[in-house]
Amino acid sequence: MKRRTLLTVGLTGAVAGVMPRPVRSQGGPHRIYRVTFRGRTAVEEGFDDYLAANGIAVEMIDRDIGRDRSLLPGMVEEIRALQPDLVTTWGTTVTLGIAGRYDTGDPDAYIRSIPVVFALVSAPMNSGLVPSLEQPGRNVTGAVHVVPTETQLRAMASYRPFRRLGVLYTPIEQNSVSIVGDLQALSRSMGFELITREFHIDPDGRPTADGVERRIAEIKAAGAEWLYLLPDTFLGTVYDRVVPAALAERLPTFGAAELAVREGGALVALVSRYYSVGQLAASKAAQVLTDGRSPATIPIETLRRFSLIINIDVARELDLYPPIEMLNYAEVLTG
Amino acid sequence: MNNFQVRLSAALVVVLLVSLTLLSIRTSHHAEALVVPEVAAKAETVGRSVAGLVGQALAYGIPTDRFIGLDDHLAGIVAANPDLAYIAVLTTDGRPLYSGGTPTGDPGTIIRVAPEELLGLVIEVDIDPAYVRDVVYQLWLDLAIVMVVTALVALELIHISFGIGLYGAIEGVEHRLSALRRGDLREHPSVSAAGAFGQIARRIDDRLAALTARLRDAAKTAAAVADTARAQAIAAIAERFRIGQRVGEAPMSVIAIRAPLFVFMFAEELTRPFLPVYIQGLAAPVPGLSPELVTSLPMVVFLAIVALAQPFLGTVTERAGRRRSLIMGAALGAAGYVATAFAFDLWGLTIARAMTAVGFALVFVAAQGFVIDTTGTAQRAKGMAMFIGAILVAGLCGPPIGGILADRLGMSTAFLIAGGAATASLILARIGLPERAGIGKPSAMIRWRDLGMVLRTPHLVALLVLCALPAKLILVAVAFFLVPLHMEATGQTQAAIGRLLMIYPLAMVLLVPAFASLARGAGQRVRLVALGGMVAGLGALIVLIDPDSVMAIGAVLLCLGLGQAMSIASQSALVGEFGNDLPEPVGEATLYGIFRLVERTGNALGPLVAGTLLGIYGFVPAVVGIGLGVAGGAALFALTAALAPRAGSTPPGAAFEGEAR
Repeated sequence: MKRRTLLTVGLTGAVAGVMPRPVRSQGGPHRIYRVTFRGRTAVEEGFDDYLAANGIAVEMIDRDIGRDRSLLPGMVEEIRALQPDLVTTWGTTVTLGIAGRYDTGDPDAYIRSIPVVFALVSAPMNSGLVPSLEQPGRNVTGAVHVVPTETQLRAMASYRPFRRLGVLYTPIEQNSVSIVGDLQALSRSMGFELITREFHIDPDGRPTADGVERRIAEIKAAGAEWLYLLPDTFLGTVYDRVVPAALAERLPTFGAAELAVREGGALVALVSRYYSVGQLAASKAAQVLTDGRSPATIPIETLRRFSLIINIDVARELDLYPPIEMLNYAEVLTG
Repeated sequence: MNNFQVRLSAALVVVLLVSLTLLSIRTSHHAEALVVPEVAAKAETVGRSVAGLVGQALAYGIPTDRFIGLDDHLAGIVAANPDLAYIAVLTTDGRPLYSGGTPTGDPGTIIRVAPEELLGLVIEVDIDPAYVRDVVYQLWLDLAIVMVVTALVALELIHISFGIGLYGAIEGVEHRLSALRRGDLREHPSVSAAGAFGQIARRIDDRLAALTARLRDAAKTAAAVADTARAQAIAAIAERFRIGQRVGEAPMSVIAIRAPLFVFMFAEELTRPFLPVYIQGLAAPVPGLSPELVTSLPMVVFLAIVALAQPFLGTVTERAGRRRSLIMGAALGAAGYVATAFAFDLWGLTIARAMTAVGFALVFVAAQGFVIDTTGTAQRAKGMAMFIGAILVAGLCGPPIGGILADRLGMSTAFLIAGGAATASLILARIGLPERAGIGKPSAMIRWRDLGMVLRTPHLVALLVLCALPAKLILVAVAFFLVPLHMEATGQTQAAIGRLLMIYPLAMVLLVPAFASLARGAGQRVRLVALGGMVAGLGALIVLIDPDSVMAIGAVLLCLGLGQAMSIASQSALVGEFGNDLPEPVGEATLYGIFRLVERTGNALGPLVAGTLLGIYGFVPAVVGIGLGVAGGAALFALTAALAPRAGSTPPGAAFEGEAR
C-alpha cells in the first residue's frame, strides 16, 4: 500500500514536471484603447457585437472626451504609456486628435505606430487623415459612413423623379465644395440641372443662416423638385431654419444624415446605420488583430447597404407619398 | 426475325402500354387535382402579401388614391408569376382601384382576400387557366415518353430475365419445329431450361433420338443379314432426312451479350443531356482558351481515347478473353462514373472521363468481338443487328431518363446511377456470359501500308473525308455538345433536353431500315449518301429561324436524324464497294477498321470544333457553320462521283457491320 502511494506521488510529480508552463496564448485577449466623442453610441454596439460574434476576445479601455477636444493630447500620452494592440476612434475630431494629419504636424504629438481604426469619418482624404482610401499607407484605416452621392440621387429619383435639383452649401467647407463638384459631374451623366446657392459668410469668415429663406425661394423658383441636404457641417446645425423654409415653399428635402430626417424634419434620408458602421470598423480591427495585417494596406470602406428613412407626416403635408413598394424596405417615421 | 418471339414481345408491349396508358390518365387526373389547389394556395399567398403592403400604406395614413406605383408593382408580380393572370385592389363595391395583368372573367379562377387591416378594400388574384393546362400537358409529354421508354426497357428486361434460359428454350423449340417441317431429322444440342418449352424440346429430342436409334438398329439388322438393298434404302432415308447427324451450332448464345451491353450503353447515354452542362460547371478558365473550348476538352479526351483505343483493343480483348475484357471494361466504366460524380475540378473530371472512355471502348470492342466469335457467317448479320439494336435502344432510352434523374436528383447523383448501371452490366456479364475462348478469326490490325493504299484511292478518300467524318462530327458537335449547352443556357430543364435528344435515335431506329432497303446499287447509294449529308447539314440552318425555340432545335435534330438515316447504311456499303478499287485487296475487316477509325476521329473532332466555334462566334454561327461544312462536303462528294465515275465493279459483300450511329 505504502509503496503504491509513493509510486503515485512519484508519477504525479513526473507528470507535473513535463507539463508546459502556462503562457499567454496568441489568441488571448487583445487590448483595445477606445476613444469616443459623446459617449457610447450604436457604433460601439456594432463594434463589440462583431468581435464577439467572431470569437475575438478583447480587453477594452474606454475613454470619452465628452465633446471636449482639449482632452485628446492627454489621451495620446496615455496610449503611449499603455501600449495597447489597437486604438479605435469615433468621428473626424477624435481621429485627427489621436492620429493627426498624414502630411503635416508634429509627429510626436500623435500616435504614429500603434494601429488606429476609426468609424464615422466622413471624408478621410479631405480631412488629411490619409492620402488614399484604397491604400491608407499609414497606421490608420476604418469605416466611412457617408452614402455615395450617386446612390443618394438614385434613391431620390426612385421616390420622385426629378429634372432639377437644388443644393444649399457652405462654400468654405472643403468637403461640401467637393460634393457639389460630384453633383455637377452627376448632373451631366444623369441628365439633370443643378441649382446651387451658398450660405452667407459673415465678415469674420463664418457661415450664418441669414437670408436662408430667400435663397430657398430662389431655388424653388428656378424649378427645383428636390432640395438635397448634403453632409455639410454648418447645414447640420441649421436644419431648423432650412427645412421649414423648404416646406413653406413645398420643396421636398432629401437628407444625407440621419439627423436631417429624425430631428431636422426632412422628408426622406438615405443613411448608414451607426450599428452597421461599427460592424464594418470591427471587421477592419479583426484584420489587424487576428490576421496581423498592417492598417496601411487595409482599404478604408463605406457600407454597401443603406437605410431609407421616410417622414410620413411630411409626406402628407407635401402630398408627396412614397412609391408604395418603398414601404417594403424603408423605415417609416410616424408622428 | 423469329415469329414467336415477335408475337410474345408484341403481346407484352401491348399489355404494358395499355396499363401504362391507364396509369397515365389516372396520374394526369391526380395531377390536375393536385396542381389546382396548389396554385390556388399560392395565389392566396400572393394576395396576402399585396394586402400586407396595402394595409401598411393605410396604417401610415396614405390615402387610397395615393398608392404611387401600385399598378406597376402589381403588373410586375403578374409578369414574374406565370401561374397568375391578374391582381387588383378593389373597393368594397368591386370597382378596381389598382390592377396589373388581364382579368380572366372566369369565377372559377378568382381568389379574393380581404383582411381587416384593408378597411374594406379587397385584393383579387386571378389564376391563369392556361398555366394549369400547360402543367398537365407537360406532364402528359413526360408520361408519354416514360411510356415509350418503359416499353423499350421492358423488352430489354425480357431479354435479360429470360436470357438464354427461356428464350433459349423457345428458340430451341422453334428450331426443332422448323427443322421438322423441312424434313430435317437431325438431333439438336440439348436444351437445359426447365418449364414447358424445355419439356417440349426434350420430348422432341427424345422422339428424334428414338427414331435415330431405330433406324440405326434397322441398319445394323440389314447389315447383319447382308441385305444390301435394304441397307441402301435405309442409308438413303438417313441421307434424305439427315438422321444420325447433329446440328452443330449452339442456338443463339450470342443473345447473352445483349443484356450487359445494353445496360452499359444505357449508363453512358444517361449522361448525354447533362454532361456538357456538368463539365461547364466545373470548368475553370485556362489562359489562352475560351471557356467553351475548355468545356469541350473532357469530351474530346473521351472520344479520342475511344477512337484511338479501338483498333488495338480488338487483339487485346481476344487475347484476354471477351468476357474478362467486358467485365474489366464495365468495372473501369463504373469507377469512371463514380469518379465523375465526385470530381471537383476540370482535371479530375477529365481523368474520370478518360477512365470511363477506356471502359467504354473495352466493352464496345469486347461485345463486338463476342458477337463475331459466337456467330458463324450465316448468323453474323443477325448478331450484328442485335448488337446495334441494343446500342440504339440504349441511345433512345438513356437521355430522357438521364434528364429526369438529373432534374430530380442532381447531376452528381445521376452519374452515380450511371455507375450503378455499369456495375449492373458487370454483374450481368459475370452471370450470363459464357466463359469460352474465341472461335472467330483473328481480327485484322490496321497497317500503315493499308492506310496508305486507301488514301490513294480517290473515291474512298472522298467518301471517308467528305461524308463519313463530317457525319460523325456534326452529330457529336450539335446533338451532344451545342444543343445541351444552349438549351441549358435558355433555361430548359434537363428532362426537356433529354426528351429532345430522343429525336435523333428515334429517327434512326424508324428510318434506317427503310432507307437501307432503298439503297440498291452503287449509284443509288452515292445519291443517298450525298443527299443525306445535305439534309443533315442544311437542316442545321433551321436554327436561324429562332435559336431559342425548342421546335426549331427539334427540327434541326430531326433533319440530322433523317440525313444520317439516309446515308448510314449506304456509306457502310459503299466502303466495301469502293474497296474493290484498291490496287491490292486489304481485306474487308481492315477496310472497315479504317472506316471506323475515320468515323471515330470525326466523333473526337466534334466537341473540339464545336467548342472552338462556340467560344468565338456563339451558338447560332457554330451550328450554321458546322451544318454548311457538312452540306458542302456532301456536295463535293456528289461532284466527285459525277465528274469521275468509277469503272464498273463487282457488287460488294454484305456490309453488315454498321455502327449504331
